[in-house]
Amino acid sequence: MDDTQLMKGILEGCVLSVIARGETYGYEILTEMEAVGFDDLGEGTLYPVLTRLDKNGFISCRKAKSPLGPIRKYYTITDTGKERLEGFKENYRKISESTNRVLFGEEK
Amino acid sequence: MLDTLAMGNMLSGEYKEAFQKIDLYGSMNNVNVDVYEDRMLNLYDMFTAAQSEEKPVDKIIGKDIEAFCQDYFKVYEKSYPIKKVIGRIAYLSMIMFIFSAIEILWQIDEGIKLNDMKVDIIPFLVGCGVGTILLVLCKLATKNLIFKNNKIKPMFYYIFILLFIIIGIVIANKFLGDYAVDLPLLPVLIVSGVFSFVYYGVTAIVRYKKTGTISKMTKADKAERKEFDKEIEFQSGVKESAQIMAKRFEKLRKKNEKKGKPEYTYKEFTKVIVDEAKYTGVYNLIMILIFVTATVVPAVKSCLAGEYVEGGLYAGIFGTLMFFVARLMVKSLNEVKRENLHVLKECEEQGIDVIEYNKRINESDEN
Repeated sequence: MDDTQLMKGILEGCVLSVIARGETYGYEILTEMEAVGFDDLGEGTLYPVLTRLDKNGFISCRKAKSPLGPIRKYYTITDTGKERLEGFKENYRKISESTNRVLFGEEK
Repeated sequence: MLDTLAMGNMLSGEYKEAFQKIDLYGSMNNVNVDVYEDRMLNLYDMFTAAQSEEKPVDKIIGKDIEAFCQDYFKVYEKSYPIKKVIGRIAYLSMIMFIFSAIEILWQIDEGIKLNDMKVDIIPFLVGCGVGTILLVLCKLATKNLIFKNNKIKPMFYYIFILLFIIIGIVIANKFLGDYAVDLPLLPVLIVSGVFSFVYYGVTAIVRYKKTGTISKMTKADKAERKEFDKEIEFQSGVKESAQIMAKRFEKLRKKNEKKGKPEYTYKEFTKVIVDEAKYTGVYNLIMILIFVTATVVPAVKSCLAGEYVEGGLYAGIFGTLMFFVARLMVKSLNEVKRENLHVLKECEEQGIDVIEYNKRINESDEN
């Protein structure tokens, strides 16, 4: 079964959660996501997520020169983004509890 | 315009190769310029960071580079086809305006009065036709060659496009040389100019109402971008200068050796480069004098013959063109001087000659 749709649903929330920890940038987000097990997350998937989050006002972006020289985009979570993240966490908790019960027959 | 060739030059190994392919995809698939530049700048940052940590490139772009490009350059904003069409027409109008302005220069030179001037629009239409066919061919080449064939270098595609344009124009002129659609030049100039300036003017006003700035970038972004462009061009230029200087020094050494003369030393070579750098100011001045003379003399001649409007127009249009050409040439000469002197300074600090310096740069590229 293709897990792409499953990934799409949770990726935004996960990326938002990483950004909520503190101002960060694309490569650092990729590294952190890889560290927790999202091995196949590439820039082709991450960039559209960041673009959507920025467009919806959940994160803000500033450009600055990186230590290695290139211009870098630094992302910070906004107040709207924090609300969105709390909402996502709550929904995810509810859905994962119900899913675990169905899939693994866990007790209510 | 973003210098993605220079940016690619600053990467090495698989990162350089991937960056050049992605850049080629972006340029050949008619990606919107703002989207293209934004994505390439972002990608360059990602690649530089990952390369410094020796991470394999497929950790950033995945194993399928073609799929990556298709996702990466997608635009996530609503697009309006009619807006695109009007934008294209405005762009072509701007080109028509520039060509008409240049045509006025030729015709003033031939002594034709403003009201009698005509312009043949067939070459313009042929150019648009060649451009459209080129776009289709580029997309086909991208799909079938760039990602499936690793042996063809990216530069080949740019050379192919240039040759295609030249051959296309030559063939078109041969077959369509006898056909002409002459239109009065002044109305064409005015209509094309007004249309494109109104379009770009309205776009700027709409942007100002949306973002508070008429420019696509804020002042701070512009300054940062300017600094980045300058730095990347300089670093890439230093690499190229090192290569050219190394070849030159090697050539001079071999020449002396062949003629049985004493060994051509690095000290002598350094002196030649430093002397050339000293005279850059003189070369610039001579070039500016030539351009000013080429602008002023014909304009004055026209005015003395009583053709004040033609003389003024000639001075205005030709002068503007020459200003930009001179500025570009002066900038290039100054940049070469700066890059050459930088290479010499680095060699002196490291206690090596330019051949060794160039070797070390190439070795780090291959790694």
